[in-house]
Amino acid sequence: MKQQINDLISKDVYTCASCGFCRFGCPVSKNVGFESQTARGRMYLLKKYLEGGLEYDKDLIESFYTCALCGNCNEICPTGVDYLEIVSHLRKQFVESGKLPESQKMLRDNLTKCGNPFAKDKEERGAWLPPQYREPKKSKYLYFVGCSSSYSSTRIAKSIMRILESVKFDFTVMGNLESCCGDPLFRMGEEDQANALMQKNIDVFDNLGVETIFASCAGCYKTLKNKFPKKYKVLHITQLLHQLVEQKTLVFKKELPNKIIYFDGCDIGRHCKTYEEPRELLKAIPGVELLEFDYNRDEAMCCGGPFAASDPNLAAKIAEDRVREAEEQGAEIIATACPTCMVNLREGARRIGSEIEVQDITLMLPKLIR
Amino acid sequence: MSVYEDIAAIVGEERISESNLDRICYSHDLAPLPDDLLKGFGATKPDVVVRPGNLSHVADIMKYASGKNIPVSPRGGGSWGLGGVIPVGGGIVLDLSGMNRIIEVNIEDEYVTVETGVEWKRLTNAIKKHGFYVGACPTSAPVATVGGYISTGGSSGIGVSQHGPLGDHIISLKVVLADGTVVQTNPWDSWVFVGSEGTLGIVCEATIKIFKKSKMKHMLFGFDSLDAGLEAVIKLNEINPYYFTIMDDGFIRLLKEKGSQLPESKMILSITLNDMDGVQEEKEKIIESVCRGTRLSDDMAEEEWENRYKTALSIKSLGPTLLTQEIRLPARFLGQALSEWKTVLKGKRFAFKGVCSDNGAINLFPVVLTDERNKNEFIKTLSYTREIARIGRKYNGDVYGIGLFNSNQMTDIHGKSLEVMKEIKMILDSKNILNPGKTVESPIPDFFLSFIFTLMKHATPLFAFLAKSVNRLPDSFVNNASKFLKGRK
Repeated sequence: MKQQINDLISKDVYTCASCGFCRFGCPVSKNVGFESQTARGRMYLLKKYLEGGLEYDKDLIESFYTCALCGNCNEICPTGVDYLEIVSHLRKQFVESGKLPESQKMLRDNLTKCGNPFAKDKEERGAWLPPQYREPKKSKYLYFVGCSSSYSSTRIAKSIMRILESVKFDFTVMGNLESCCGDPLFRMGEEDQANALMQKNIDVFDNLGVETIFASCAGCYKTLKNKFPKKYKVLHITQLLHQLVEQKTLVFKKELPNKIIYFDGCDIGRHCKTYEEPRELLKAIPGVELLEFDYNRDEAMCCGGPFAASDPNLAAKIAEDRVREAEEQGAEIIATACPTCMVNLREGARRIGSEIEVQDITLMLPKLIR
Repeated sequence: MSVYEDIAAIVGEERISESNLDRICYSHDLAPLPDDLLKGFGATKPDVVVRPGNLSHVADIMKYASGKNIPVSPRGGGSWGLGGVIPVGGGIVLDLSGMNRIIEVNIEDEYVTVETGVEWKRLTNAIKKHGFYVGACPTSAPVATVGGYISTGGSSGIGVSQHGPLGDHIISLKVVLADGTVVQTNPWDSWVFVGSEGTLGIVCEATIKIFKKSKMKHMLFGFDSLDAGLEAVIKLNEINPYYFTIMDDGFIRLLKEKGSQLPESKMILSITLNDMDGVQEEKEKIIESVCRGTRLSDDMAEEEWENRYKTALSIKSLGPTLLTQEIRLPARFLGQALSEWKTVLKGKRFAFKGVCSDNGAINLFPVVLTDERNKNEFIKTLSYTREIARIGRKYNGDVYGIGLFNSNQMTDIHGKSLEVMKEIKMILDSKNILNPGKTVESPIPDFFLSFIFTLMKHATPLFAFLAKSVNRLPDSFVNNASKFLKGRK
């Protein structure tokens, strides 16, 4: 295993030019700054490791977990090094050799024991649901709610139910039968545990005869799309809603006269290349003036959300930067397509006393369709 | 108190690191040199790495360091390959990339004031919104900082063939001197610090002239013969387009291996014009008449422009190690130099790429692909870099910078003016703590290095063994040895 990974990374490690382009859009590099916390720094340290000058000690391993896997560096790398792939392989190796850092363990245990990152009761997952939805029914369409919207940001899930009910869209939800999609475990290298959660979900999908799955969480969307079997059609909720707008099924009756800036979350953006539908959806709302960050779409910078559990201070510091950038553009509302981004950006805004509003797109819509 | 604690008291704990991992990361730059070789140059790990947050941090650190006689090696994006940011004699590495505020964009008087840790890409994007651009920008803009480009000369890159080198656009610099004094320069004495590679002072803030933006036109020409291409380059230097680059057939082949759609040619010339002087169409016609090759599609030309930061390194994975020298030479000698370089590099996997410079010069990158994991082969290939520089010099050219690796060639490069440079260094940094071992003094005598390169070429295994032995020496021994060689107390 170790040798295999060494062979695999060797070519990329020596291809890395140490040019440092990767620092440009790296949220960690901008906030921590020291080279050992940048992609090129870690590649150089790996070189030293391969040459026998370094061991995978606590600090080096921890450094590989101080990466949001946002993928900005992969986009800008002139030599085409697949840095995300390397970090993912290494994290798997660290897990296999029992070296998962302490900072990750609580999150892992919560996920493996409770099927969600917050250590909440499995039987409470569907508690937010209106009674008629508590028991999943057979349907071609499934709304995969995700942990955040099931337990904490339930307003997002409720909004979506309201919007879809208003257009009589037929779908089902899994309620208490839903488990985490496995994303946080995939990210930390706990492949087996992640696969186990994935399988649990797949079993339910198949029992319900699901063909198309839509998610409101960008992390779930990415995992469903990139890790789950390809037989399911996977959509982000903004894609589905955009389709409904295009079909004139969903019509906005009220205006939203605001300057809105759309925040490309890494999971929906770079990892799924879904850039336009959320924007088109926002543009379809009468009155909206859509603004852009200086660095958007494949250049967009991470909100810091991936660190919310392991290093909340870093997560919030990164979010502060994004909020300031949105303010510079003159935005009144930051629109997100991911509950993690929303929660984290709100924390960033709170910390710098910004008056900017941070809203998931789905939260803006119910009041516009009545 | 330790150096760490003293400096932490100035900048705060989050701005200083003494972790082994950071000390390793800050002991190299872009050059793919093995530790064995780096140590032979006197390079060692820094004791601490500091990321100052503003000019007064830098001034306080320099006051402290000069009081204690501690070497300080300043660093911007660390994207040069001549070892200029590698600490010699340990001490403090100052990573200035955290000082990255854009302080003022003045569109009435057409200038911008920045902290020098800001990257060129961020700066150019920030002023683009106001309808402006910079007159000189390095092709490593996503990482290269304003301070780094000032300190490394600023005369190769985007804009310089039209607007002249960056030094011409500097209105003022705020510089921290070795003893912590802060000076503000005017446009003329700014030149003292341009290209001084962090050996005379630490440039912390810069006020730079900016230019009103206008529409750009990108052109691309393929040539059936190298001569036709070179003739066009010489004439281009009289027309002074905003930007141009050249690549030879070797480079084109490598790009094609990586999936490029460029056509097979002996040379490709990529040119960008902007119509700030309102004569774009006329220039376009003149260029068409002097470029006696095939004009390629505008789409391709625009793609070349879009990839302007990426192209040079996009072929690296074919190595995966890429060795290069940056040689600045007059365009009219390019043909002769190319043919000699090709003779020397015969049997190697090589290619040439060039970027426009000022005053009719081209900055040429002879690129050799190799694999550093095959150590003996790598060392042998490395020995050719000196030969490449020698040929450049023969044709009125020279290495574009000094850094650590070219510092032993200072006599060849500067002749008698080296003495003047040394005096300037003595006046500004009498204790020799600012980026020691670079530019005006080398830790290694030249005859010794010639001998080393001969060993590398003709007795590679013996050299590899010796280098390894040097690498086993403790850092403290190397630090003392380089102090001894430089006569520094």
